Amino acid sequence: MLTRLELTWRLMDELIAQFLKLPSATRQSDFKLEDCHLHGTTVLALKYQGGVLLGGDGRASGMDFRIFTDKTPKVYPVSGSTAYGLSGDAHLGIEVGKILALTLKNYEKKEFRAMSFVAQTKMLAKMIERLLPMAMQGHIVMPIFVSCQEICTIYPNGMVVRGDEGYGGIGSGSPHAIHRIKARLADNPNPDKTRAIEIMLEAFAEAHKSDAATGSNLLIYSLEESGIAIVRNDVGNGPFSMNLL
Amino acid sequence: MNDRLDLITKDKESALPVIAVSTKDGILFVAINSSIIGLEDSDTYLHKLSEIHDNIGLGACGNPSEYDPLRRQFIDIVDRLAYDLSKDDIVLKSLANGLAGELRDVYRNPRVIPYVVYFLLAECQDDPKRDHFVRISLDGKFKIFNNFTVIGGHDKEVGVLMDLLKLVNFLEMDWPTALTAIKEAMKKTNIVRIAGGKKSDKTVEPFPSLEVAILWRGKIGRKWQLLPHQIKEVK
Repeated sequence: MLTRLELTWRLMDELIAQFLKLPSATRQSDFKLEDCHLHGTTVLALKYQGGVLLGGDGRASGMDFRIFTDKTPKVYPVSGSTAYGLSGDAHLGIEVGKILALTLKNYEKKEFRAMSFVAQTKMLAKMIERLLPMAMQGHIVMPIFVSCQEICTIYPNGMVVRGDEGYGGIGSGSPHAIHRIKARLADNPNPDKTRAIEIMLEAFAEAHKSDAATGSNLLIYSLEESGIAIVRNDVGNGPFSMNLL
Repeated sequence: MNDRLDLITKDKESALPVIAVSTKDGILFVAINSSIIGLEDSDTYLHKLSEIHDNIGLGACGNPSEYDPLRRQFIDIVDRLAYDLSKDDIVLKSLANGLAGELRDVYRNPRVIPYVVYFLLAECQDDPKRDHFVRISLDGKFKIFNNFTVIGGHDKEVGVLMDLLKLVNFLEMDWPTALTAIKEAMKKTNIVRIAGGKKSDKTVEPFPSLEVAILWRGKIGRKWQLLPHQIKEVK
């Protein structure tokens, strides 16, 4: 009989096997953990009174500075109370999100309760850790994982970094955006929802100005005790749009 | 075969019924659950009703240690299929056939004691006329129904309850009305007395604990909701 973990790991193994067939898997790159956040995108998370905002731009780029689409969602709700934002290899990232959403749903159906946030983060971190060989060959996935109270960034070696300062960001535009967020939070460390949305839009505008891989179309979710809601959606039902739930 | 049936008859009769009906709001599942002691705390009792897929629900009765592993395995198979294909490609009929096949194999194997479990599977569609129900008995026989179905170990009482429910038009009711109608039908049979055990023979217990769930019709994504049981306003 399959257990929950077996289901997850079997799916992960298939995913890894599928990637090992790619020609780029034979290429060795200079992998540095500190450069991981430089993958072309901007995904930001920001705490406010009573919840967390999670937003991402809509630009999918790669292969010699080509823009594939400006309307791809990079943030996905994976359960009733948590959401997942990805940077790096899009296909691998979305597949990890799918497996995570499936595992959480599977647990909920079997045990009649939702998995705790700690366990969800651990599960995601273990999956990313298993993908470390992929990351070293260039297929990096670096997700940000949020609930209505916590923000966690997960590095390709499985390290979980908690955003206790009240914000978090991944992708090449995030250093610029986080500078702006830090400056705005200096006056008002615990903003309300309206102010938090203003700060986030300003940070995304800054990232769009300074980073070529960050588009102007945004998808922003708000996570609160009552549930997950869309705050802003410019990407609509784009070509990569899918509902993981 | 008859000897084996005699062997499990006593166990079998303690399996309390589960009912599923197709209403205007969605498919309503009602189970008499003797393990509900504390109310409103869903972690403390053994569930007889469970979500299988976005639009499929399952009711089970019999021995919990036998139906729960089967339920978990079933959920894994459905999730794996939904990942490999898509959520819309889950076909209830073929899944039920697989489950029934497993029960039949165990029942026909002379070396093992057969499962004492009954399964009820229901699939909710946007058009209520396309809802369908599958009843699987412990010997692996399965049957498909249209508007409602009942499972339970007490064959005679289940038959009586089926005949009573046939007279009600559930498709025009909302779920609280349907729940009241089911309760009234149950009161006319001996099921409540059997469920109450020896104690309720003397002191008339109003009703044994019910576990109620619904698959909402027309909802996008997951349709299952476990309703707070013993709803007081519905008396």
